[in-house]
Amino acid sequence: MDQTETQDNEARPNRTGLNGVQILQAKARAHDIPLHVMLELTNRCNARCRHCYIGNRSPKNELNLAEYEHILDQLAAAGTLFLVFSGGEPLMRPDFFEIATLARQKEFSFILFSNATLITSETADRLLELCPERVEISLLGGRAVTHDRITMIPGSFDKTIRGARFLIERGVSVQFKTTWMRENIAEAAEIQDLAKDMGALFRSAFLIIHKRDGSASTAELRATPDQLREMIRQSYDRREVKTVPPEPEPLNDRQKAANPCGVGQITCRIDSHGLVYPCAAVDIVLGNLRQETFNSVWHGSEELKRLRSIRIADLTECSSCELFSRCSRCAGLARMETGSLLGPSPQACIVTRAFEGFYQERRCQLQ
Amino acid sequence: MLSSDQVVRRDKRTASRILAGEAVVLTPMNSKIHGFNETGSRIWELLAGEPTVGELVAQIHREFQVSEEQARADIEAFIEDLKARGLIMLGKAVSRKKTDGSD
Repeated sequence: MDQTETQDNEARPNRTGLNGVQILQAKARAHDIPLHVMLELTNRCNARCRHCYIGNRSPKNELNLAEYEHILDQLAAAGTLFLVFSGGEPLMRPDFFEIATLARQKEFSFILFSNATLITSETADRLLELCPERVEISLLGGRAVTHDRITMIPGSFDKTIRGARFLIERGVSVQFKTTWMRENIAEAAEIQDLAKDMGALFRSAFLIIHKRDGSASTAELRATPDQLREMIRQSYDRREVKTVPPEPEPLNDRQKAANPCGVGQITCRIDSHGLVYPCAAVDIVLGNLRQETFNSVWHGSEELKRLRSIRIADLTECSSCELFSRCSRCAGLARMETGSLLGPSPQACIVTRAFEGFYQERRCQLQ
Repeated sequence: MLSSDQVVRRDKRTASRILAGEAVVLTPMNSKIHGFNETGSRIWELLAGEPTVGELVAQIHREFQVSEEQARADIEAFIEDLKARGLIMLGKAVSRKKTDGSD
């Protein structure tokens, strides 16, 4: 009998230099396992965020509880471990807790994306019982007036903060996330201080994807390059430990032979009508779970096979860019912006240049 | 030492899958991932049926062709480790029909 053993693998890198999630993801890639699945439970939402990509908010024809149970069974059999419950606002579904309970009974881990405005003390108790990995809450301003102007719902800031507090008080992990926009980027320090004071995690999003109806109307919301540089400078100045990454290096051939991202490899998205997509941003329908099994879509889709075959070397313009290793390029956004999955994403180029420009200045000062 | 008729249950707060033959267990409250070898994975799989310690010993003894004593020693150490990591709950000894042949 082999020695039975367990290995702690969370954030700590092991001898391979990879942490537990990365090791798991590598294994999933090797075996075509859809490790991470985003379930968009509904398009309904009680906010009207100006940068939101959802267009039609109708609940018409949404998957019902029995259909979700069937889908969860199929995902469990396929090896999915991590779910994201997204929307719209998932808590707008009256059966949200039934779906989440089924998911936990089937031993999925889940993260809930929410604006937290519907979280009461009772809701927080129920979420605690389900032991989510965390609840990620959109916080769009450090001041109520800014947040409410972006959500277009007066009073939403106060409700979001109240909902987050109910969760944090119970020990549920909360992560605030802010999409930086022209309107809120000047409040970066206030937002991050608020998160810290409340005991929440925080993360930023720099890219704003187009609306799913194809409209690029969200483009006008983007922060300007000057605003980005200023925010990067302020964030750097506030750090206790100030480090500057080394000069970026061009990719070598081995790096160019890798896949550019997890699209179609270990992730997918299932919308509230049962349509399967490669990820949140790539709007290519791979199949319909009301007509076919998840397994047949995941292993049979010609589109997925094409996506899986893409290598960094295929990104002709990006793969030769010296900033590629620092770039947060999103294939879906590139497709929205330029029509090509293989081309650069102008938005990502702006953000990456803003960061690298700042670090380059610092390197010069340090020399 | 564990009693043969103690029931071993997966902690319902864990999330887990058998991926390519190996169990991967996540404790969502701290985002820790625990990976097991072949035998550990098989034991984790068996825990879905909420077996007694005695039933686990008998099953591993049969499947892996090790002595009952060796199986018991390894399983007890493994169970203690799982318990320390918050992955399982040990239930009270129950009156169930014995399937492991022990008395």
